[in-house]
Amino acid sequence: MRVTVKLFATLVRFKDGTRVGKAFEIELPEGSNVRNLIDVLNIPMEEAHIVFINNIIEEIQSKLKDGDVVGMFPPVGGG
Amino acid sequence: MAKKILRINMSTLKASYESMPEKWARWAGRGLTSAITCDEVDPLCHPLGPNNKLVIAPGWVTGTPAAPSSGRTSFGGKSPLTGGIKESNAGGLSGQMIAKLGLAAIIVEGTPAQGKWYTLVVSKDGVKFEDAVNLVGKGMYEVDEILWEKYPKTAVIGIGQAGEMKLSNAGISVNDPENKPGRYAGRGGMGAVMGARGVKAMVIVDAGGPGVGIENMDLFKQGRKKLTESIQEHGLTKKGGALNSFGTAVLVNILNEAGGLPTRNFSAGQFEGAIKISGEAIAEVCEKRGGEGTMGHGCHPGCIIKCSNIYPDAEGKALTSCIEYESTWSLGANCGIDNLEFVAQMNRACNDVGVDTIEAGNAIAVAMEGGLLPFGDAEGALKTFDEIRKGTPLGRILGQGVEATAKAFGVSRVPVVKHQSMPAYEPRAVKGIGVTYATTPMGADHTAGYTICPEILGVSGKVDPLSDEGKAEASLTFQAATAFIDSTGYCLFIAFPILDIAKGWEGMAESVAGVTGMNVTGADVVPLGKEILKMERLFNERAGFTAEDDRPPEFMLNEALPPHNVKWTITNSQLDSVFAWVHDGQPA
Repeated sequence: MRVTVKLFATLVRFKDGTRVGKAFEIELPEGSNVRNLIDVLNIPMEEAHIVFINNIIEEIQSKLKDGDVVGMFPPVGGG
Repeated sequence: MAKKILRINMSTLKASYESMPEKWARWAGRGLTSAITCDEVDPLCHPLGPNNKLVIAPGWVTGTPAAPSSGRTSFGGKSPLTGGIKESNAGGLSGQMIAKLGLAAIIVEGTPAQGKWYTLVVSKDGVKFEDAVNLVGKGMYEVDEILWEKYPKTAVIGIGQAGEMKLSNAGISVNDPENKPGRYAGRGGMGAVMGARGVKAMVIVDAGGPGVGIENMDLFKQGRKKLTESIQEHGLTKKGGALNSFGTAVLVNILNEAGGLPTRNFSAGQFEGAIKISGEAIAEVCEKRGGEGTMGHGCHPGCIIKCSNIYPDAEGKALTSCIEYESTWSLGANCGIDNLEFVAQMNRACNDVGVDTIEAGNAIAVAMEGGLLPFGDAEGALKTFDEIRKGTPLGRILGQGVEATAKAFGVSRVPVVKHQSMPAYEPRAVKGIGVTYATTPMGADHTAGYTICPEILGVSGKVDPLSDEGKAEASLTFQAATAFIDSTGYCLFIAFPILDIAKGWEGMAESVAGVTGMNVTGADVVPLGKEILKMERLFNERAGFTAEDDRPPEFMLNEALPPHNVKWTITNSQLDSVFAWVHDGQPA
């Protein structure tokens, strides 16, 4: 299956040639979860602090399905 | 040495020092401005009339040696915008200098002869009342420059043209280490309260001051160490972390991803141009243009988080500092504007003319909805600040804030609570912050109880932002902890590390106990914060506020917000439960 990924803030450095929030596709085995995706991207687990699937915050064990849009953030804050 | 209260009477042009009375001795910062306002300001007075006061107070630890990120100054009184009690705090140079003069608070009261404006020069030798005729009509960039020519390296507190006109969206500026305006006690119109006292500016000269006494140095040092370590260890506040690297505007993309970034006057929760106005985009411009542009800027000496930025123009000269999340949102996404250059210029205009960026952007957005100009018209939006500067009828309407603008332009989508407009988090998509907006004594204000921490940021745990469950309780806990932190003088951003790292929470309390000699531990933070909230709620009740003022705007119950297509669903009884304890569960 293919999922679309967007990386933000300091996570951009884990994908060559990408830009903030620029969508790219990743091929994953059926049944993969968020943790598997983070591993494929070589992002340290503690840096992928908040992960959205289709605009909903999910846990690392959440299952992915074909066509999902995943947004990943390191620890961010402000206000 | 015991701290003093400095009372400045603008009717008689006399200043006097008073011993700290027992009834206020426990408080500093917000706790003290609210205690003094409750005791000395008639809740029914006109906020611009002779019976309101401007109360200024540094926090407990402000001005102590190397307490990290502790430069806050609280400004309090009755708000012209909300009609209720107000505490608005800012960074910059003023807090540490006021504290080093041995002052717990400055109370500015009375009214000078018609048309007279003053610069108050506060030093160890007392107060000089200088005629401010050289400053009247000028914006804050020029005011800061002129005053540093005569009083270099001092703190300058001042108001722009908006404050002189006593507009309800006028803020109070504090200069930063580069002597630029932009550290604003922006919310609630406190600049108009200062203007109503005939004070254009205050210069704080700390040279020769007695400094801040520390009752228990060992305990202070122990607390300071724990707090400092927690800030340096936490992923968000450490050097090279998101706040340091991208500033507060790093929030643009995550709120957009969550569907909670208010767009085009709160008509949608996502903005297609979000990335272009985000913290990452600001950092890219600073990197590319270089010169004076930088991320990781500190707004006051001793900050170790350094979330500020200096945004450069095309030649690398400083254009504005700082573009905050709330500002790039209000002047950007909420107006449908994705041009960062115009956002930066509007940010500078806000800092110069002296208005709060949140209320200013919201007012433009409401005017856009009312047909003044189309959404996305960046040039037109920038020109509105000239209208405010010149005091044209349109400028005065916009400068009154969102509610006045909505009435002038016949708009019913009015994102306010207690007459103050909402910041950059959509309550329908992030329910807990909506509870804070609705119930805080300050009017819609995110800083008053930042439930965004668990709802979006994964700080202090994780909860579903779209769920109603537990949000009333969470909001109260955050509001109470915030009231305490707002009294310490520490920047509210210490909350991020100390909510996750227990020693930081203890350290904050121990540093306060060390400075004051009070028996304060981490367990006292929420109870003491509730005492402050109770004072503020009771002031508002005497000012005429009822349960009906603790409500979100009507349109949020009727209109579903994309992309989640959600309405406001938290019940009124849940909202009323937040402060039921103030009257032991009985009606007010």
